Amino acid sequence: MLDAPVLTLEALSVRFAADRGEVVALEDVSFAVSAGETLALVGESGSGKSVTSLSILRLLPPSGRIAGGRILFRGWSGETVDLATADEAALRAIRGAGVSMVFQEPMSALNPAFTIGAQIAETIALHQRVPWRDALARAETALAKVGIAEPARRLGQYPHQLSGGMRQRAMIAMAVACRPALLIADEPTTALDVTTQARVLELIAALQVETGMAVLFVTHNLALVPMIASRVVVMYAGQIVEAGAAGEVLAGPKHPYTRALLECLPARHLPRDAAAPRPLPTIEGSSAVRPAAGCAFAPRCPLATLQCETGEIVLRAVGADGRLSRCLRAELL
Amino acid sequence: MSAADAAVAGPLLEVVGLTTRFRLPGGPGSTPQIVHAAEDVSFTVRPGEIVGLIGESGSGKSTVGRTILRLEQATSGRVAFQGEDVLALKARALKRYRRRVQAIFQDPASSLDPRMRVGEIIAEPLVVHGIGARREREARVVWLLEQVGLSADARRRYPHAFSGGQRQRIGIARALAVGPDLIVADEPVSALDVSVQAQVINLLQALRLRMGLALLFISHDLPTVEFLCDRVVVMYLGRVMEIAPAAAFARAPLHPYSRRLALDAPRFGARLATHSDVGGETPSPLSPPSGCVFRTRCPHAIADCARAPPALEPVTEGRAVACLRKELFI
Repeated sequence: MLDAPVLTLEALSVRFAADRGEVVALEDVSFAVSAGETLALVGESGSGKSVTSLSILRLLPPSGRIAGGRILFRGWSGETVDLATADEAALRAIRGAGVSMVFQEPMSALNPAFTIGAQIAETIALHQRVPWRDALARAETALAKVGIAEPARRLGQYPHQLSGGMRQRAMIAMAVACRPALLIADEPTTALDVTTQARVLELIAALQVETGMAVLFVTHNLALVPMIASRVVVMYAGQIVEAGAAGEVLAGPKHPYTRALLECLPARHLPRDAAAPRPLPTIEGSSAVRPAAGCAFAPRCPLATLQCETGEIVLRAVGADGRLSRCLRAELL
Repeated sequence: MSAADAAVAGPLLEVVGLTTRFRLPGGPGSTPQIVHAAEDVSFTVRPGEIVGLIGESGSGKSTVGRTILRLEQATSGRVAFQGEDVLALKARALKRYRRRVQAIFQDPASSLDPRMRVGEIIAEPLVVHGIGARREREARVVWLLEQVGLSADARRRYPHAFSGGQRQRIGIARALAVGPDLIVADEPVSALDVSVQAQVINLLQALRLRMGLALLFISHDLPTVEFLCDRVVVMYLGRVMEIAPAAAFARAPLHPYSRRLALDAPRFGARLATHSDVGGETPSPLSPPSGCVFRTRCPHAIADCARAPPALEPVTEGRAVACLRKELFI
């Protein structure tokens, strides 16, 4: 059982209350992340990637509910809990210790009324039961590790006294301070510079080697995937549209959405030759316009046929390498 | 404007030895501290040119942009717009300058008044500068919306009814309203979805071609800068490290810091680069290292690098590097 995944999502479905009835935010989302592994969950706004990460810790807003499926978490103790049905006491014990999370917006995780040092040390003291002085010392080490200059001085500062980038790093320091079995990193480096981003990715990778934690890395940026993850899950409009080994998905996407998302990255069009760059390929339309039947991407898809607009399009195995694609025409790509 | 025209025309914007420092009030009994946000920064923007200002947070790139916009006060140095001293402008002359130089920011949500209709937001600079009668302004708003790819109906709605990408388009339309020659764009696509980023990058490029607009594009994203910009200005801890044509820079960044940036930028087929600089932490702009500010992270640093900040010196055509050991990299 050593290799049992730390996190297993089984047919997770999430709905949000709307003016009339409910809207489906997640539909039949299944994947697993093992110890020491990084899975990248990629998608744009409205894809459901952040709803997925919030669901795992049961941090959905009041209008959202888990409508079906299981969220199996297996902590360091080896005990498995279904987070979809766990009670509040069980969740409290797991949040911040077994599973911890870093967000895109650091101010949502940092309390403006307490110093950075107090907040990180509190997490450490609470979950690891060490004296306050030791907790503060570890907080300082944690800050230094995420590349914050003058960590001792920063400990005594309040979140508003730090730059946006530094707040983000402080939050990451707080999240990894308790050595979680699963780290959910939701766009953790989106607001950071490339060199800081690289350091943070390195830091997460180094901690992963050291502790064997599993990492669910949520991002909108496919370009980051090969830097950090071994496997990737691509989401669109609440569904998984493609999943597979990171290198293979990026080298040869088997879903038109993945392909389009790759093509609109400037990095794919470098070095540029012309004096004035040609326009980047874009994805016309919006994922907010979701068809009642058929493939959710069909209205924006250059490959869509009449068949794509009717019936149910399932996530299916494509090829032999464990690649999954939710596209009728995957073989054409 | 073609590249050849741009080459013969004088600079639109000239920044010479610009230094902007902030004084942080110290706590009781402690001395105030000085943030060296921008130190001795020099570069030019030609008419119709897109210049990328790239660097990490704390590099001073936004401070330089805000000083050019007269949103921060320069400590010393010179900013000239079409030969006119920007830093000395007062009242009416400053207002005239603000018609020529506009800004767009990272977060369109916080820079658009939620209580104003989009039409009023875009027309506001026209009202402030007393441009056109009401009827003319309305027509211009419709034209501007069309220029940024929004429908004329958008003017009757409020900002919250739009997506992030659409709000950025509204911000761009507002900046274009007074017909500027230069737009300072501070991280205008960083907060947007990747596919929306591509749309806004295409829009900025199209506007440059259509209107001959020059752009100072401030960004931390190297691939975007290399793709969109004609030239690149690389900043680190308040100082310019390198200036280069974007194409040449993409092929071979010269300064050790530029090379670090290129290594760390997400590239396809590349795994995470391992860092060779052991003391790899960015020093604080409160106490930048003596001499070359990058020397504490530079694998090529020698004792001489600690003496004085190296001058930004030309190395090849249109290219300058501030590094004592630049011969190693040319």
